[in-house]
Amino acid sequence: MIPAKNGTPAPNNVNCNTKLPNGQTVGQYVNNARAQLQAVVDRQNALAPAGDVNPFSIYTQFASIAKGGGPIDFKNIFAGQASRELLANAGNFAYYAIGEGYIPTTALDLGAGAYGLYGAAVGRFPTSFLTGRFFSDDSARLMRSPGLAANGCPQ
Amino acid sequence: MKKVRAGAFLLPLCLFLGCKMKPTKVTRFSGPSTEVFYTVETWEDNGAISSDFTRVFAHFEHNGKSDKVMFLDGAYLALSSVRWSGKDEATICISEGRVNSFKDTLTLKAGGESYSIRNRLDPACRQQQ
Repeated sequence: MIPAKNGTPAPNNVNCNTKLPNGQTVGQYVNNARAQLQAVVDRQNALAPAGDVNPFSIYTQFASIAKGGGPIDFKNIFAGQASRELLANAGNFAYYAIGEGYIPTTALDLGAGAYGLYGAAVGRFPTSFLTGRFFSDDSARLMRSPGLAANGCPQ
Repeated sequence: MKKVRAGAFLLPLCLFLGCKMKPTKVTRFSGPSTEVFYTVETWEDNGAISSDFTRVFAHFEHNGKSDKVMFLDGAYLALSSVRWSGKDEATICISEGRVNSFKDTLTLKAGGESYSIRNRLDPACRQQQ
Protein backbone atom coordinates (compact mmCIF):
# COMPACT_ATOMS: atom_id res chain seq x y z
CA MET A 1 0.00 0.00 0.00
CA ILE A 2 1.19 3.49 -0.78
CA PRO A 3 1.14 5.73 2.28
CA ALA A 4 -1.00 8.82 1.81
CA LYS A 5 -0.01 12.20 3.15
CA ASN A 6 -2.04 11.95 6.33
CA GLY A 7 -0.69 8.52 7.20
CA THR A 8 -3.73 6.54 6.09
CA PRO A 9 -3.21 4.04 3.29
CA ALA A 10 -3.98 5.38 -0.15
CA PRO A 11 -7.13 3.68 -1.35
CA ASN A 12 -7.49 2.38 -4.86
CA ASN A 13 -3.85 1.49 -5.32
CA VAL A 14 -3.22 1.21 -9.03
CA ASN A 15 -0.76 -0.85 -11.05
CA CYS A 16 -0.44 -2.21 -14.60
CA ASN A 17 -2.94 -4.98 -13.87
CA THR A 18 -5.68 -2.72 -12.53
CA LYS A 19 -8.85 -3.34 -14.53
CA LEU A 20 -10.83 -0.42 -15.85
CA PRO A 21 -14.63 -0.50 -16.23
CA ASN A 22 -14.40 -1.71 -19.85
CA GLY A 23 -12.37 -4.75 -18.79
CA GLN A 24 -9.10 -3.50 -20.19
CA THR A 25 -6.15 -3.06 -17.88
CA VAL A 26 -4.28 0.17 -17.24
CA GLY A 27 -1.25 -1.65 -18.66
CA GLN A 28 -2.99 -2.09 -22.01
CA TYR A 29 -3.59 1.66 -22.24
CA VAL A 30 0.02 2.26 -21.28
CA ASN A 31 1.23 -0.16 -23.97
CA ASN A 32 -0.94 1.45 -26.66
CA ALA A 33 0.26 4.93 -25.81
CA ARG A 34 3.89 3.86 -25.63
CA ALA A 35 3.51 2.24 -29.05
CA GLN A 36 2.44 5.66 -30.39
CA LEU A 37 5.50 7.27 -28.82
CA GLN A 38 7.75 4.55 -30.23
CA ALA A 39 6.28 5.19 -33.69
CA VAL A 40 7.30 8.84 -33.36
CA VAL A 41 10.82 7.82 -32.34
CA ASP A 42 11.05 5.41 -35.28
CA ARG A 43 9.90 8.12 -37.71
CA GLN A 44 12.44 10.55 -36.30
CA ASN A 45 15.20 7.94 -36.57
CA ALA A 46 14.26 7.37 -40.21
CA LEU A 47 14.45 11.09 -40.87
CA ALA A 48 17.73 11.56 -39.01
CA PRO A 49 20.07 10.85 -41.96
CA ALA A 50 18.39 13.68 -43.89
CA GLY A 51 18.76 15.96 -40.87
CA ASP A 52 15.01 16.54 -40.79
CA VAL A 53 14.46 15.74 -37.12
CA ASN A 54 11.87 17.57 -35.03
CA PRO A 55 12.96 17.23 -31.39
CA PHE A 56 9.55 18.41 -30.18
CA SER A 57 7.44 15.81 -31.97
CA ILE A 58 7.70 13.33 -29.07
CA TYR A 59 6.45 16.04 -26.67
CA THR A 60 3.57 16.92 -29.00
CA GLN A 61 2.55 13.27 -29.21
CA PHE A 62 2.80 12.85 -25.44
CA ALA A 63 0.73 16.00 -24.86
CA SER A 64 -2.01 14.64 -27.13
CA ILE A 65 -2.09 11.49 -24.99
CA ALA A 66 -2.05 13.28 -21.61
CA LYS A 67 -4.41 16.15 -22.44
CA GLY A 68 -7.91 16.49 -20.96
CA GLY A 69 -10.29 14.41 -23.05
CA GLY A 70 -7.39 12.28 -24.29
CA PRO A 71 -7.04 8.49 -24.24
CA ILE A 72 -5.94 8.32 -20.57
CA ASP A 73 -8.46 10.81 -19.23
CA PHE A 74 -10.12 7.92 -17.42
CA LYS A 75 -12.28 10.17 -15.23
CA ASN A 76 -13.87 11.48 -18.40
CA ILE A 77 -13.96 8.22 -20.37
CA PHE A 78 -15.44 6.14 -17.55
CA ALA A 79 -17.46 8.86 -15.80
CA GLY A 80 -20.00 7.34 -13.45
CA GLN A 81 -18.69 3.79 -13.91
CA ALA A 82 -16.11 3.69 -11.10
CA SER A 83 -14.79 5.74 -8.20
CA ARG A 84 -13.37 9.03 -9.48
CA GLU A 85 -10.39 8.58 -7.18
CA LEU A 86 -9.55 5.19 -8.69
CA LEU A 87 -9.87 6.60 -12.21
CA ALA A 88 -7.75 9.62 -11.30
CA ASN A 89 -5.07 7.43 -9.76
CA ALA A 90 -5.11 5.29 -12.89
CA GLY A 91 -4.66 8.44 -14.99
CA ASN A 92 -1.76 9.66 -12.89
CA PHE A 93 -0.15 6.22 -12.95
CA ALA A 94 -0.55 5.94 -16.74
CA TYR A 95 0.84 9.45 -17.25
CA TYR A 96 4.14 8.54 -15.60
CA ALA A 97 4.25 4.96 -16.91
CA ILE A 98 3.75 6.11 -20.51
CA GLY A 99 6.24 8.95 -20.33
CA GLU A 100 8.97 7.00 -18.56
CA GLY A 101 11.91 6.49 -20.91
CA TYR A 102 10.47 8.73 -23.64
CA ILE A 103 10.07 12.03 -21.78
CA PRO A 104 12.58 13.26 -19.18
CA THR A 105 11.18 12.75 -15.67
CA THR A 106 11.69 16.45 -14.92
CA ALA A 107 9.49 17.33 -17.90
CA LEU A 108 6.81 14.92 -16.65
CA ASP A 109 6.96 16.55 -13.23
CA LEU A 110 6.77 20.01 -14.78
CA GLY A 111 3.66 18.99 -16.73
CA ALA A 112 1.99 17.66 -13.58
CA GLY A 113 3.14 20.78 -11.75
CA ALA A 114 1.51 23.04 -14.32
CA TYR A 115 -1.80 21.26 -13.71
CA GLY A 116 -1.31 21.68 -9.96
CA LEU A 117 -0.47 25.36 -10.16
CA TYR A 118 -3.44 26.02 -12.40
CA GLY A 119 -5.76 24.23 -9.96
CA ALA A 120 -4.44 26.29 -7.06
CA ALA A 121 -4.59 29.52 -9.09
CA VAL A 122 -8.28 29.09 -9.81
CA GLY A 123 -9.02 28.10 -6.21
CA ARG A 124 -9.89 24.45 -6.80
CA PHE A 125 -7.47 23.39 -4.10
CA PRO A 126 -5.06 25.05 -1.64
CA THR A 127 -1.32 25.26 -2.23
CA SER A 128 -0.89 22.87 0.73
CA PHE A 129 -2.24 20.18 -1.61
CA LEU A 130 0.68 20.69 -4.02
CA THR A 131 2.96 18.23 -2.25
CA GLY A 132 4.62 16.73 -5.33
CA ARG A 133 7.61 17.84 -7.37
CA PHE A 134 7.36 21.20 -9.11
CA PHE A 135 4.02 21.87 -7.39
CA SER A 136 2.30 18.77 -8.71
CA ASP A 137 -0.62 17.74 -6.52
CA ASP A 138 -0.93 15.04 -3.89
CA SER A 139 -2.53 12.52 -6.28
CA ALA A 140 0.34 12.91 -8.76
CA ARG A 141 2.81 12.53 -5.89
CA LEU A 142 1.20 9.24 -4.84
CA MET A 143 1.24 7.70 -8.30
CA ARG A 144 4.58 9.09 -9.54
CA SER A 145 6.90 6.43 -8.13
CA PRO A 146 4.71 3.41 -9.00
CA GLY A 147 4.16 4.82 -12.51
CA LEU A 148 7.84 5.40 -13.14
CA ALA A 149 8.75 2.02 -11.65
CA ALA A 150 6.25 0.17 -13.86
CA ASN A 151 8.84 0.06 -16.60
CA GLY A 152 6.22 0.75 -19.27
CA CYS A 153 4.02 -2.16 -18.13
CA PRO A 154 5.81 -4.92 -20.09
CA GLN A 155 3.39 -7.46 -21.62
CA MET B 1 -3.25 26.69 -30.07
CA LYS B 2 -5.83 29.33 -29.19
CA LYS B 3 -6.54 27.50 -25.93
CA VAL B 4 -2.82 27.44 -25.05
CA ARG B 5 -2.53 31.17 -25.72
CA ALA B 6 -5.62 31.90 -23.63
CA GLY B 7 -4.25 29.76 -20.80
CA ALA B 8 -0.87 31.49 -20.92
CA PHE B 9 -2.67 34.80 -20.58
CA LEU B 10 -5.25 33.77 -17.98
CA LEU B 11 -3.01 31.83 -15.59
CA PRO B 12 -0.79 34.80 -14.59
CA LEU B 13 -3.91 36.95 -14.43
CA CYS B 14 -5.49 34.47 -12.02
CA LEU B 15 -2.32 34.29 -9.95
CA PHE B 16 -2.10 38.03 -9.52
CA LEU B 17 -5.72 39.14 -9.49
CA GLY B 18 -7.23 36.00 -8.05
CA CYS B 19 -10.01 34.15 -9.81
CA LYS B 20 -12.05 31.53 -8.11
CA MET B 21 -13.73 28.64 -9.81
CA LYS B 22 -17.13 27.76 -8.35
CA PRO B 23 -17.64 24.27 -6.94
CA THR B 24 -19.24 21.80 -9.30
CA LYS B 25 -21.26 20.13 -6.54
CA VAL B 26 -22.61 21.37 -3.19
CA THR B 27 -24.28 19.10 -0.63
CA ARG B 28 -25.92 20.36 2.54
CA PHE B 29 -26.03 18.57 5.92
CA SER B 30 -28.46 19.91 8.49
CA GLY B 31 -27.21 20.94 11.92
CA PRO B 32 -28.76 20.77 15.40
CA SER B 33 -30.79 23.91 14.65
CA THR B 34 -31.83 25.86 11.56
CA GLU B 35 -29.05 28.36 12.29
CA VAL B 36 -26.25 25.82 11.93
CA PHE B 37 -25.50 23.58 8.96
CA TYR B 38 -22.59 22.13 6.99
CA THR B 39 -21.93 22.22 3.27
CA VAL B 40 -19.67 19.90 1.32
CA GLU B 41 -18.35 21.70 -1.75
CA THR B 42 -16.57 19.70 -4.44
CA TRP B 43 -14.51 20.93 -7.36
CA GLU B 44 -14.43 18.20 -10.01
CA ASP B 45 -12.14 18.30 -13.01
CA ASN B 46 -11.43 15.85 -15.77
CA GLY B 47 -7.95 15.23 -17.17
CA ALA B 48 -5.43 12.44 -16.68
CA ILE B 49 -3.50 14.27 -13.97
CA SER B 50 -6.11 16.56 -12.50
CA SER B 51 -7.66 16.03 -9.07
CA ASP B 52 -11.08 16.56 -7.55
CA PHE B 53 -11.01 18.47 -4.32
CA THR B 54 -13.56 18.86 -1.54
CA ARG B 55 -13.96 21.46 1.18
CA VAL B 56 -16.33 21.15 4.10
CA PHE B 57 -17.72 24.36 5.63
CA ALA B 58 -19.63 25.09 8.82
CA HIS B 59 -22.28 27.82 8.55
CA PHE B 60 -23.88 29.90 11.28
CA GLU B 61 -26.77 32.24 10.54
CA HIS B 62 -28.01 34.56 13.28
CA ASN B 63 -29.92 37.85 13.33
CA GLY B 64 -29.77 38.14 9.55
CA LYS B 65 -25.97 37.75 9.45
CA SER B 66 -23.95 34.68 8.54
CA ASP B 67 -20.51 33.21 8.98
CA LYS B 68 -18.86 30.38 7.08
CA VAL B 69 -15.68 28.56 8.16
CA MET B 70 -13.86 25.76 6.36
CA PHE B 71 -12.71 23.03 8.73
CA LEU B 72 -12.01 19.99 6.55
CA ASP B 73 -10.64 19.50 3.06
CA GLY B 74 -9.06 16.82 0.91
CA ALA B 75 -8.97 14.98 -2.38
CA TYR B 76 -12.04 12.98 -3.41
CA LEU B 77 -13.63 13.37 0.01
CA ALA B 78 -17.17 12.11 0.36
CA LEU B 79 -19.18 12.45 3.57
CA SER B 80 -21.82 9.84 4.23
CA SER B 81 -23.25 11.48 7.34
CA VAL B 82 -22.88 14.12 10.04
CA ARG B 83 -24.16 13.03 13.44
CA TRP B 84 -24.78 15.61 16.14
CA SER B 85 -24.43 14.82 19.84
CA GLY B 86 -25.96 17.90 21.38
CA LYS B 87 -25.72 21.32 19.80
CA ASP B 88 -21.96 21.69 19.69
CA GLU B 89 -20.46 18.30 18.91
CA ALA B 90 -20.49 16.62 15.50
CA THR B 91 -19.18 13.29 14.29
CA ILE B 92 -18.30 13.25 10.62
CA CYS B 93 -18.35 10.09 8.58
CA ILE B 94 -15.93 10.13 5.66
CA SER B 95 -16.73 7.32 3.25
CA GLU B 96 -14.10 8.09 0.60
CA GLY B 97 -11.06 10.23 -0.09
CA ARG B 98 -7.97 11.57 1.62
CA VAL B 99 -7.88 14.29 4.24
CA ASN B 100 -5.61 17.24 3.49
CA SER B 101 -6.42 19.38 6.53
CA PHE B 102 -8.83 19.16 9.46
CA LYS B 103 -9.64 21.57 12.28
CA ASP B 104 -11.48 19.86 15.12
CA THR B 105 -12.61 22.98 16.97
CA LEU B 106 -14.11 26.01 15.33
CA THR B 107 -15.96 29.14 16.36
CA LEU B 108 -18.40 30.95 14.12
CA LYS B 109 -19.54 34.52 14.73
CA ALA B 110 -22.68 36.14 13.35
CA GLY B 111 -25.25 38.68 14.49
CA GLY B 112 -23.42 39.45 17.71
CA GLU B 113 -23.24 35.86 18.86
CA SER B 114 -20.58 33.19 18.64
CA TYR B 115 -21.08 29.46 18.23
CA SER B 116 -18.40 26.86 18.90
CA ILE B 117 -18.40 23.36 17.46
CA ARG B 118 -16.20 20.39 18.15
CA ASN B 119 -15.82 18.00 15.21
CA ARG B 120 -14.67 14.42 15.25
CA LEU B 121 -13.81 12.17 12.31
CA ASP B 122 -15.20 8.67 12.70
CA PRO B 123 -12.62 6.16 11.42
CA ALA B 124 -15.17 3.32 11.57
CA CYS B 125 -17.20 4.76 8.66
CA ARG B 126 -14.73 3.64 6.03
CA GLN B 127 -14.74 0.04 7.25
CA GLN B 128 -18.55 -0.02 7.20
CA GLN B 129 -18.65 0.86 3.49
